[in-house]
Amino acid sequence: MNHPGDTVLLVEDDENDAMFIRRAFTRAGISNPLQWVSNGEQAVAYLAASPPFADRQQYPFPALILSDLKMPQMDGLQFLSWIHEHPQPKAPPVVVLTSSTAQTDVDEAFRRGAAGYMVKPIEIRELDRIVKTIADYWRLSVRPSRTP
Amino acid sequence: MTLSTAVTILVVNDREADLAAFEEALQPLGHRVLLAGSARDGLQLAAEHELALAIIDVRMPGMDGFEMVESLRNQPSHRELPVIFATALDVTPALEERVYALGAVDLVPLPVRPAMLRSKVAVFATLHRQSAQARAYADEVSRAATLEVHGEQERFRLLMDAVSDYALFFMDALGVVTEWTTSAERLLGYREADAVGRHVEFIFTATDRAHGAPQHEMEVATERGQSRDDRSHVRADGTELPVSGRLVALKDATEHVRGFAKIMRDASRERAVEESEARFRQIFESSNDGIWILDADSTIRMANRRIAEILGYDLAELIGSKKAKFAFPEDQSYLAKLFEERRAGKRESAIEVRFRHRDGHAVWTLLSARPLFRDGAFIGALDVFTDVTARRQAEARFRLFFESSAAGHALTDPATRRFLTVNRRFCEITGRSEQELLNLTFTEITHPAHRETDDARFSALYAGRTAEVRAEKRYVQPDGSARWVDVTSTIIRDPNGAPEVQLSVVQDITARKIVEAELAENRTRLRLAVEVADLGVFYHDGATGELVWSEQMKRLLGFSPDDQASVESFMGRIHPDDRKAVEETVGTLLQVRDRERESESDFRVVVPGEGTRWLKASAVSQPRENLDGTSTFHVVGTLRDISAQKAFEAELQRQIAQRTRELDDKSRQLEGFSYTIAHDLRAPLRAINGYADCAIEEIAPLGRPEVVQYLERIRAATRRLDALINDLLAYSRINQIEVASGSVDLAAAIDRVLRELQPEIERRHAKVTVHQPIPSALGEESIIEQVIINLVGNALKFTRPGQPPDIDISASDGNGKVRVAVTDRGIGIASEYHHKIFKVFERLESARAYPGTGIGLAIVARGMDRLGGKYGVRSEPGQGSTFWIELKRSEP
Repeated sequence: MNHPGDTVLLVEDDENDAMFIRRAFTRAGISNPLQWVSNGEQAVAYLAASPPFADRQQYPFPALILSDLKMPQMDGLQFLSWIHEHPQPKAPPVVVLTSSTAQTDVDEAFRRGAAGYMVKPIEIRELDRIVKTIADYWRLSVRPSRTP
Repeated sequence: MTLSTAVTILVVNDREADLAAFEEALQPLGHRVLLAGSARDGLQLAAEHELALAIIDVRMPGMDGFEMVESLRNQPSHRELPVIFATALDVTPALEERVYALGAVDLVPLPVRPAMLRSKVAVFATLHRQSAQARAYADEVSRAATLEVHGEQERFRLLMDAVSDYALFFMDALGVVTEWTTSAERLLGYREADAVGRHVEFIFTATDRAHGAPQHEMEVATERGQSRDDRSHVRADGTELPVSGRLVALKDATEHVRGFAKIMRDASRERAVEESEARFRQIFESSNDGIWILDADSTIRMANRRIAEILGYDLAELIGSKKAKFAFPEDQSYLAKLFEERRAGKRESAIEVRFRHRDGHAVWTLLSARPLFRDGAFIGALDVFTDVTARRQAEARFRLFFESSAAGHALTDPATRRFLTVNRRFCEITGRSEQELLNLTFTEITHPAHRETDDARFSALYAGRTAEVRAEKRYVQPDGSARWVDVTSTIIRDPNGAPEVQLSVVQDITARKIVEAELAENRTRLRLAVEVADLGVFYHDGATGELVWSEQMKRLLGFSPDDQASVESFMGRIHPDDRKAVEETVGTLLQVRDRERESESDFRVVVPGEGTRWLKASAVSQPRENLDGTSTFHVVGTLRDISAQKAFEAELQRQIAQRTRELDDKSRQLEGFSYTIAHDLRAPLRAINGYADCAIEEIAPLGRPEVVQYLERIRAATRRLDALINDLLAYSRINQIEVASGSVDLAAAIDRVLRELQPEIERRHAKVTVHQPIPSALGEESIIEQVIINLVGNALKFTRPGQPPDIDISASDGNGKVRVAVTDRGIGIASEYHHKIFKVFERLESARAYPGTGIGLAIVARGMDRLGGKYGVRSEPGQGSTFWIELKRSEP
């Protein structure tokens, strides 16, 4: 998945956060395409190439999933479970990116197969560093940063 | 032929002088007198001679006169020998009786009175000679001889006439009077002319005649030579005269009875004496009093069995002894003086005299004495003794008892109710002297409240309706105070049954009354307390096995008041689930032991028809010493219905459980709420922060520095708000975390905390030094880390302006505790604020100068409270602060 074209799927119900993450990706120089769905159900649909995500050309199977926890309909933990219960040939790692610092959430996320757990910082500039760390770790394609 | 007129007379006497006197007195009669100095010699002489008469002394050494006569009577030739006893003793009726019982014809006193003796002896000598002559009559039938005989008879008759108390007459063989002497006339009153020629029957009483006495006498005399009789004969004037008579058969040589001679002696005085003697004897011997008769020199001549008993001697030892022998030496002169008073004719009645018992003890007697005179001469005294030793002793004992008695005793006169005698104790009880009391009535010292009932009681006592009166009452002392007494009164009555003396025994029971009053008061209090408390009470006596339940106890167990208490019926009521525990408790209480044991237990009872109720029993088992010294125990206890309390407790438990559940729910809701808040608050904060940042990015190139500045302030505000939310969450979480105490490696925890704080440490250019070693402590790891984060965070924040934080973390241990101190060199805190800084939102410095939410130290305090540890601060303004926490050390 260390291809610059590998898609990252962002599961995030908060438009603002989705926008800041996308901005952090840009500011961190990560060139991978970022697909955004706003809850677990849509994420499941995306993975299953169900409408409206039937077109794999337009909605490629993701190499990494970033998921929030607190979401309407199917939340992040349920989504993690779903993936766990529906093994994929090339299962993408799911990194939780949430504002919850509750230990129960941390423990539960890892129990359900989360590959990482990152807390959304209140200082938005911190988000740049977090996203970079994720990209580094998962060998996403990172361009030279515009900010040092 | 001339018949010799001389006869042989035997005189027996142990005293030479008496023998000589007899010989001299009898000599003129011309008879042959044989003298013997002892009874044995006398018997010897009697065996060798034909005797006409024996004169024998009564008292002789060895064989006495009586024994000698008995022996003589065994010799056929002397069976009818006339015997005259001589005695120097007083002629008492008893002696006379004995003498005549032996067939003696007379008793003469010694010393010898010659004239009297001679006249008496002459009679018997003549009688003897006549008998002998009568036997010779047939052989000597010559007239001369007959005349001689007649001459003899005449002389004899004359002799008889001279002896005043004898009478003599003759009869023929058929009993017809042939000769009637003057002596017979004098005695019986018939003149010679009236008597001669009549059958002797006329002098016999009708009764004797009817029994054939006249004929019987003659037959006996014919057969034996003579017959004796004691009977009354009829005198000429019709009166009867007691006589002692003797009929002598006058026989010829062929043993044919030619006639009879009758000699009789007036026995009227003798009979009278005999009768009074018999009466005297009877009184004398059967008397309960001791009696003795003394002669003129106070020798005891007669005594009865009773006096012998009183003095402890044999009767024979008393007779002949001097009275003085039975007196104590010191009493001799007194007794002698008494005896002299007898001599002077004085009588004595009922004086107390002491004698000496054979074994030496004193015998107290009540003596009545009278002098005895005969013919104006003092011959002795009659003393009558009543043994009062027992009475004297009883009196002495009574007196001792009376005076030393622990009870008060009083004798009162029932008529006047005045005191007659009181003892010392009675004086003490009444508070009065004996003299005072003797001037008072018992009514006067009795408390007025008792007088009326007293009157009724004593009236009943005097009237004999009750045998005794027993009462508790008060006596009033002279000072007006009252003493409680227990009085028992009885009455002693005179022979007519009238009350004579009232005897009262008095015990002072004031102390007892006080105790009783206190006891009654205590009982009342206890009863009220028990009633008020609605307590059932039970009592078990270990000695008797007695078990008592109060009525409330029975009600609580569902028994009726008539049901009997028993351990079995008690156990029968116990709820099956509680039975075993109650049985154990009861068993423990009933075990005899040497110390007190208390128990308290709650259990259920099932009362038929009423259901289950909860009871609480409290009991004390105590060892107890019985009156007889053995030890046992008793159990006292109470029983209380605690059903309501139990129901209340159960309800409380239920409510607590419910509240706890509700609280748990709320707590969980709150937790969820906190996260929701945190999450939902953070999203807009991030948005504000993020858009402000975006705006700065857009505006900065445009050269509007003040706008950039505003936007930066918006971002700072979002950071502070986020910090506040984080701390509140932490504070909330520290309350939520379940404390699972375990060993926590503090060094590792500090290390983790410093790593977490590393960005801030670097940002502030802080120097943090950890002084090893840091030991392990007991606690909950997550809480301990929270606490340390906040301590270090606090130290990082409150620094002097312009100075980077310089922090030391060290640990010390001792007494099983670990103390971790975090020391800064910051601004310090005035001591008056030390107690405030651990509270939520207490921040002393302005938010402007120092960052922080004001929750950090509150988290420290709360965390340490939850871990059961301690915390504190040492600080002075300008000197920096040392915050410390203390936990139990965990042993590796």
